[in-house]
Amino acid sequence: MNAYGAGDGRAFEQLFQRYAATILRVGRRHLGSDDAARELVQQTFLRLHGARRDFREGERLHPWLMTIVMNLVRDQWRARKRKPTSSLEYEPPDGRPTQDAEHEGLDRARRARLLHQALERLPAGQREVVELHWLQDRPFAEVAEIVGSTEGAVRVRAHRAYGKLKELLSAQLEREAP
Amino acid sequence: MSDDGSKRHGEDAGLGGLLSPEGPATAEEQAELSELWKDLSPRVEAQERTVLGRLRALSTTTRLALAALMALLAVLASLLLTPRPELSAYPPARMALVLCGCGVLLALALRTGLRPVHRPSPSVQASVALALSAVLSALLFALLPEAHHLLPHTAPLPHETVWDRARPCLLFGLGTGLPVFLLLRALDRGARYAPWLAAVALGLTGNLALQLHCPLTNSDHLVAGHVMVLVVALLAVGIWTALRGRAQA
Repeated sequence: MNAYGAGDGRAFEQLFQRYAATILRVGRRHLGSDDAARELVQQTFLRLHGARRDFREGERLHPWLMTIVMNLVRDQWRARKRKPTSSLEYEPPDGRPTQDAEHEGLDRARRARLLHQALERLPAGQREVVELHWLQDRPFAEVAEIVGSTEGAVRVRAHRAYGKLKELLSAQLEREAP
Repeated sequence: MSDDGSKRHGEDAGLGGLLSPEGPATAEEQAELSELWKDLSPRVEAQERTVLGRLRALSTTTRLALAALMALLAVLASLLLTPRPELSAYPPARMALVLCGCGVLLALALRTGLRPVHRPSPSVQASVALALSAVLSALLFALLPEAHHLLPHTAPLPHETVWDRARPCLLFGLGTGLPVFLLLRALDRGARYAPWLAAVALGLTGNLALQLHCPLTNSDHLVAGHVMVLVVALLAVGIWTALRGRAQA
């Protein structure tokens, strides 16, 4: 990022190659469609490009980038609240139970699908904390920086989110039990 | 889930890992990203070519300094070109109160409206609180007891209504605030509620300019001619936002 800020055009492409896949996956999970996820990637990098002169040497790029991503995701959530759309089209990769799953109980794909469905039902504020803390494995301090809150408040949000997630997953498993 | 959040542990790691967005791109994603990169490059170049793109690419410190300078120039122009005739007779403490009150809120509106994109967006509550504070402060200043009696040459003519006297001030306030609004829109990188915050900045700049320009201190005039600058600016943005929302739908 420092090289890019100093005017090295190739550095932008390297940043794209390094982070675009992650942003695309985050977009697919939270925005529900391929088109919205692709637009999220483009908008994120357009904003990153526009804001490159704000980057200070020694700053970490990941929280920077994820703040841009989560701001855009929140804008989309808000727009959807105003304009109801059909339910999310996103299906996690291989999200349908395979034949083996019949024999092996909960396989990875089915668990991913259940987890994705449970995540969708969390309130927006809790969902973003779970996304950053659990799925992206970021420490609470960094999550707080990204969502613009205190570490304590983020811990409380995460605690509630995990409690709710556990409830939702248990209920889903009960419903799907043979 | 881990307690300190620094690392996932055990089963949680496995479960969380199922949906983790990290990791190298698959071949399918790689192809998709190549297409995206092809689309992105011309968009970045197009952004670079426009004046707006170049303005928005300035550092946040520079953008903030430009907006503050524009507001200062608008207010100073009012003071130097069309100063209020009884400036020396106006109570200095009251002048300081109005200028500081509006000035602080204006600084907050500029700072929030030009917030860098790598900082979390302002909440709706914070933005509404700022807009409400601006309107209520202007209203409070307007409802203070008259600072002095009308000067002979500013006394209303017999046929003049409050609106007749308020209209020029309303237009003057909107006119002096408009350059700040336009500059803020030009410098905006897509921050949430930015048009609303720009409207607040327009209204506050207009009120500051009017404070140094208009010699009338009676409440009905101040409410109809000065506070309304803020209200009209916010209403205009509200109507524009609603129309745009309808057009997009």
